Amino acid sequence: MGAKMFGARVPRLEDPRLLTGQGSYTDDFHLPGMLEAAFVRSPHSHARINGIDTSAALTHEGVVAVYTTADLPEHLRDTTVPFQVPNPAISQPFQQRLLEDREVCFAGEPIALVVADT
Amino acid sequence: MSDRRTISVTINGETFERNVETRLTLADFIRHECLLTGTHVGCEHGVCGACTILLNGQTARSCLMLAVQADGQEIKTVEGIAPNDQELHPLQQAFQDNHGLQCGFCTPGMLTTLLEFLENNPDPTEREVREAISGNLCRCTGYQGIVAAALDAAKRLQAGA
Repeated sequence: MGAKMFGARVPRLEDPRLLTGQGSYTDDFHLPGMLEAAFVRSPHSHARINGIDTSAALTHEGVVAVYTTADLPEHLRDTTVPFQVPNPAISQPFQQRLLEDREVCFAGEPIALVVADT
Repeated sequence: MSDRRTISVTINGETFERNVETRLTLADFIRHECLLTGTHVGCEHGVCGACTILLNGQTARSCLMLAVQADGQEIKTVEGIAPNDQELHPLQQAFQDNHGLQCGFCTPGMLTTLLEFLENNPDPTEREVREAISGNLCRCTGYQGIVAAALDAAKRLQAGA
């Protein structure tokens, strides 16, 4: 079987599907009961967080849950993860907490996770 | 408070009537309301070209248009290019034959862009093809195959294939 493939033009089986808009990319999936998640991110480049009030968000129609640092399992609250895939070329790897609740160090740092119908 | 309007848009010959928020983009309308996920959203600000659709025969970035602006208009998306379920359009066939796609994410925008281009310029030079797709990004770096596919499609279309 292998010998037949050498030097041969092998038509890709996925092409007709991808050429007619019938592909299935991650964002194309719609499963029954599926929820959507969105991160609340810092609008400031450097700021102290004095408090997070999720009550208004929770009363919003369609919102199922709002997660902050306090909702994480205890051992994950202060765990930091690498911002980029570790690489020797990165001399000062930046580590960040999963969700920040004390001090944000860049605009866009995740603070809360909102889960809702849409 | 959300501002809503009822709109009616014809996509690939089928009319979709939906009550939508006025701030909904046309791309999200096509993907989420009409469930036509062939149109892709890459950058959401008009740079990548993946969301390109044909609005009354002319290309438009569906991420830069609001759904309400398409009320009463006629749209063609990648799902509406092939003549039927069994056959591909000559442009699509040329893409397959010339390895004009790898992951397929940019493909819907490439096809819609080239469909309009080849209609206006049935016998283009390679340079003109490259200029035509200059607003469509392919991150598999497959431009060589895409350009070859476009030139091949021009020949096929002229031959009436």
